[in-house]
Amino acid sequence: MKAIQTLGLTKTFRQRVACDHINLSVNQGEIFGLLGPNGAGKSTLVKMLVGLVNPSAGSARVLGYSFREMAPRKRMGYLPELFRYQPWLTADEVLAFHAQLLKTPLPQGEREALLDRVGLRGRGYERVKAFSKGMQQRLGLAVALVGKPDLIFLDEPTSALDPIGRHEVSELLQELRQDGVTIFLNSHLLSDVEKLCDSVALIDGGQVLYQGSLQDAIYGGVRRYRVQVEGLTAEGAEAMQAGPHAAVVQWGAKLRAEIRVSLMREDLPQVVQQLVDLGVKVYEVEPDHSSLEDWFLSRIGKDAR
Amino acid sequence: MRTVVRYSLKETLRKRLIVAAGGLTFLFLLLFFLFLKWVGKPPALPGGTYIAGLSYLYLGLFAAYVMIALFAVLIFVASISGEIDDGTLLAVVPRPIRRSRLILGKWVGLSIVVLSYTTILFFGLVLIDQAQFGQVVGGTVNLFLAYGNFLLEGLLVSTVTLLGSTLTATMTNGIVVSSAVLIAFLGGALEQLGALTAPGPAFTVIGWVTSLLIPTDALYRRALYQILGNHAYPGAVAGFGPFGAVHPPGEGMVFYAILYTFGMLMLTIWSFGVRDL
Ligand SMILES: Nc1ncnc2c1ncn2[C@@H]1O[C@H](COP(=O)(O)OP(=O)(O)OP(=O)(O)O)[C@@H](O)[C@H]1O
Ligand SMILES: [Mg+2]
Repeated sequence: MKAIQTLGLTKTFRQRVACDHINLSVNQGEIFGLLGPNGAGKSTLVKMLVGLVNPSAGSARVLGYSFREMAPRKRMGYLPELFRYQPWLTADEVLAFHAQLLKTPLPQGEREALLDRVGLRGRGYERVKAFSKGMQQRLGLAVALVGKPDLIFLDEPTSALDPIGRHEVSELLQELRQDGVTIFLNSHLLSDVEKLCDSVALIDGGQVLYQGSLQDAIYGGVRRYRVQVEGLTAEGAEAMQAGPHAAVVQWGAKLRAEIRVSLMREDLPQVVQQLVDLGVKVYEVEPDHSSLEDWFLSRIGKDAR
Repeated sequence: MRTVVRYSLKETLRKRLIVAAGGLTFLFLLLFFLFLKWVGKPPALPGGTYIAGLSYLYLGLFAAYVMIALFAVLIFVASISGEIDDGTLLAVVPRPIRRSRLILGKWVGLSIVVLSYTTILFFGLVLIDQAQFGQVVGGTVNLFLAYGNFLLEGLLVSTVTLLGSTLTATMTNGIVVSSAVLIAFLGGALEQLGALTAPGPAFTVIGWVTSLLIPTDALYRRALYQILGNHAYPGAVAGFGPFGAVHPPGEGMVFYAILYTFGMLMLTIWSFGVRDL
């Protein structure tokens, strides 16, 4: 069973088509990233799936139920894009309110633990009115986690967060994935998406331009890596450059060098082994970060405008 | 749904709406009381005390009629549109609660506030008036029939405002509903004046049309008429011109008002159900 499966989901606002026959599927337990430029229809798609927007056509199944039913909603969490919680409630009361809407018990200890998890320790008894934008967003994450959902929709969850917050959210999402939670993530932060997501879809003008694994999306299986090494000799460098992976060597201070290779992930250990055999110290192997962005820009530039 | 009812009530408490409204109501009743004290006893004509008591009761009930409508509009005007603007509904609607339940919860919760307000205002006025001038109202049955009309008025304005809140922006809604209530009053006033000065169908038609538009005024006039029962002197009510009920609306209007309220509630549920948030 798929966590989410949409069938020709369409939404037209007056004349504007926000989502145009969208067919997407999201596997259980994966982090799914939905990408697309502003106005692509990302938020509208999520809003249809959580029952905020009535589709003009099409249908969807969520957690095995029709998305119009109430049953899957008991196991769903949602962080809206632009929102506020009842300013006259305290953060603690907001959580209690949502637990009651879910008809699930949420004792004080668990409410505190939730606030703790999103970095709002000790702020539970303050009115939401006085919360900063980022604190509201953190509270929104906590609300999305009420009731231990199996599926969470996050519409730009880190847009108001500081770098520490963004990092914390990344870790939180990875923890959730380990617990088997499916995460549907809308984000413009491609580095985060690249780091977190198992699969992605790209939409523009309400249409799906791509859906598949992140790896395949960017590299068609081949990916660029940067390898930081020390002790590479001139012969070693030549050997690398002559190898099958189109290695490019950039020399740094002393005997340090950065080697750039494009290869399938499976081939990476082999390259590292080759370097070790050459007596080179390997300090760091990292995927090249601008790639998803390049891909995004090229796809959007090419297909849509 | 009970959760929504409870939190709607909590909201009015937290926002000090209830405290403010309670304080102002108390002030109003106090002023009414002091006013009646200072006005003092009427001249010793036959039936003078009764006529005075009735006059001030009608004055008070007119004020109550306006205040209840205003209060209902203020309480309900932003109930949905405000939450849409703020984005608070975005997190609530995806929860496993039907939209109809959400609307009903809001309606029940906030209506409790409006009906409590109506109750305090209505009985406060009657009690103060009768404490000064002796019995003016017909009897317990008459009193409660009139009370029922005022409750229905509050509920009706509340429901219409809730409907408006699902359809338009807060400000528009407030203006439209208050204007409708005002127009209904003017229509009713013309009908009464017409009945006094130039009995004929023209004025009756005006009253009818405005009452069909929103039957608040019909409920008010009917309350004025019902509260007296047989207790009134024949023609006692004629002296109140546009604020009286020489030509009281019939029972049919009450049924219409009940149906109207119910219909508006159904319309609200439907309009909120199809709305994109
Ligand atoms: N309530 C609405 N009424 C009319 N048009 C709407 C409404 N909501 C969205 N749209 C339109 O639908 C399109 C998609 O909007 P949507 O919010 O889904 O974009 P998005 O991909 O989430 O963009 P962003 O990255 O800016 O959040 C836009 O053209 C927008 O103008
Ligand atoms: Mg969006």
